[in-house]
Amino acid sequence: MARLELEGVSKAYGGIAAVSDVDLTVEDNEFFCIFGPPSCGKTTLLKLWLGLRQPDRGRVLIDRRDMAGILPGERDLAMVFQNLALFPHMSAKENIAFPLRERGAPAAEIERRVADAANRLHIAPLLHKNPGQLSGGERQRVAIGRTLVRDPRAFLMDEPIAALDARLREEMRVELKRLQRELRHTLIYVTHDQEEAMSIADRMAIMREGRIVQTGTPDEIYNAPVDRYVATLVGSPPMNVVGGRLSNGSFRDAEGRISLALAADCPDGPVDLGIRPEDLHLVAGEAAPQDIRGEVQVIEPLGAFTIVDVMVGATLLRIDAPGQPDLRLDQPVALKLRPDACYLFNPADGRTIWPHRCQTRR
Amino acid sequence: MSSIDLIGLGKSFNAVTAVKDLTLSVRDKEFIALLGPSGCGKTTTMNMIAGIETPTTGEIRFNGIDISRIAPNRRNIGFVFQNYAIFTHLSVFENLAFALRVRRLARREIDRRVREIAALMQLSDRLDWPSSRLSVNEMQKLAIGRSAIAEPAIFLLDEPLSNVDAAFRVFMRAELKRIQRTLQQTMVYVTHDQTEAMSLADRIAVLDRGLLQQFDTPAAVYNRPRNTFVARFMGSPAMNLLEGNLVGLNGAMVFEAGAKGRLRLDLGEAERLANAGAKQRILLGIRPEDILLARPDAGEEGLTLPINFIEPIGPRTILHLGDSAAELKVVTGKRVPYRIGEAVKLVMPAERRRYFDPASGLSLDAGGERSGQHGQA
Repeated sequence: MARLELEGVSKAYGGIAAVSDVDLTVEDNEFFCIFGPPSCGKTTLLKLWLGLRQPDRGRVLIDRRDMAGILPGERDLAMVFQNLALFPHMSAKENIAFPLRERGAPAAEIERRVADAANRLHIAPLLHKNPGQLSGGERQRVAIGRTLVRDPRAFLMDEPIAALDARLREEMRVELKRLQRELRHTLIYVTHDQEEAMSIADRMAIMREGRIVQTGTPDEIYNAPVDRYVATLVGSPPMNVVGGRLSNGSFRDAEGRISLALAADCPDGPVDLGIRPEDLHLVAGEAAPQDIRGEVQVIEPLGAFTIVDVMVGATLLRIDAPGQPDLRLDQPVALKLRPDACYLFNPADGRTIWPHRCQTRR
Repeated sequence: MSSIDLIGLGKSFNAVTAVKDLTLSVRDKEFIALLGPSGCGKTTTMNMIAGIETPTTGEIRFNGIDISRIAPNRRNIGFVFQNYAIFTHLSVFENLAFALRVRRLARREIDRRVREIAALMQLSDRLDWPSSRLSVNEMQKLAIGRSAIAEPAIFLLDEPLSNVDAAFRVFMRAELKRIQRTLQQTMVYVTHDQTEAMSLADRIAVLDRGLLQQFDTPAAVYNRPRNTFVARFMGSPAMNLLEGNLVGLNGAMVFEAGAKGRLRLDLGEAERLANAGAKQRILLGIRPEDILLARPDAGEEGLTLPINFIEPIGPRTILHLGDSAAELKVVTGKRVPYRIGEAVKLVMPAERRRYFDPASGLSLDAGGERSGQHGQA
């Protein structure tokens, strides 16, 4: 159980800033995801907490205590990497028991804790096997088991399931979340997979080039992004962004093909319009004058839903339609959307200017 | 341009059978996916088409002609691997031009075709760059462009998107579809990712342990899986499979799933199952997005289960239902009016239900093997 904080932390490697001015508080018992594209500084944050790196500026705190001068081994945090670092010559059981043996725990306690961890992770029948005899998912469970038995103050995980196949990732992410709820431990989880972050985080931080752009619940991040970067990074396919002008609260794109009465109380001028793919609906039957007209360019049927690329003049709008709509390539279609599902961004700095709920969340 | 016929194709490595008695035909200009988990035989199959592996049994024909004895480099095949084979010491332009220089094409012709393919791959402003400076994502585009420029009759792609990041993969899927529309080549695409296969392919060959499980359009494979392997492999999350008993009740046929409740079968459904020789023990299959939720006291009949986990994933929400582990998953919209611990009634429309024999795993829905037949035997 622990509260982990970073206060005004910066860290550079060889003159290149990895992390700049980061203020972040992860509360006790939180499942906290750090999400961003490759090499945005996610892993460096974990290393700072672990004590594997020292900050150039700022403070690293665990339970309000400054960690300066505290060695990694004394911080009582457990780390799970993508590369598991299991001992290949030891059985799963010996691997899990390893940290307890190092500590010189009594045999009965080791037995009890290993059995408990194995039960929680559903690997009890596999304990006698060596890592080489286990599947990728099973090896990952053993690696997690090895951190569980230590009963650390918090777990830090760096893309722990990124190497597993899609189906297994789907299952493991839910298991991790259940496990964290049962154990009531703080868990900080680094991932570059937005769906993974959305599905398991209590709260998440979005990073860009070493800085934290936004923190919030997945719902806040998805529905009230502070800028175009967050809006297009979270969600798949990404939010559609169309350049145009706002006048008297109405949006119009350069070609005059997308015209929307938004009632947005913002000053007139150039804006970027953002629309999530699932908020664009195919019009069945007669189209209304305000509907957006275009042609089907690409159809990606995915079973439960279908992604359709619609060309509106020179603008590509990607829509996420439920089910398996009957569409042909080059077919003319009309799209409808609700004004309250739209976002407006300042085209210069990307900040969300409308709806106003997005501006207070930074 | 080329059709491909695989006839009774098999490959064994010593005692291990990688591919067994595989028969399937790829039409000219068709995009097919070879889909399955690791070890299913998909890569071995592709390697046999390419000529990298020699079949133990069977035959491969291009345009009706047996090519078993033709060397790989004479099969007119383009290959894109997971690890893009790029000459990193050459510029983007030279990488694209390579296959044309080997063929000694005129300089002007090379220049024209390189610029054309670069435009298609959105690499026009990178032509002078050393290819080592490209991002991972651009490298993969270059790898595809490098093969495409030779205009091979058959294009083989071996998990080309498995090394790129998730966001780029979604983008590149649509790009590949666009590229294929332009190139009009026969494409065979190997993947373990059912999403890629669904979105890209005209038809999908689902393989498991060297055996072809089903070969059909994405819609047919998804909607009418021939067996429980296909039902579970396709979809995210997978199709729900509920074990229960078929029993007669007041003159009607009923699916009984213990404490979860029971479902009355339609007359047509009951008749279909009887004709298919269904036994008492049966698996009911239903896709997570085909289940409608209602309050437990709602009039409709259906199974009742508690919600034990809620996963918001942006446009949709995955609900896990069951007492302890997730016995059933439901995919619903952005906003969920239910909480963890609450019991919900599951309404499963009859036309969306599928049935399987629990012993053999085979579909009991007639027409499961044929596309577009909609269950009409």
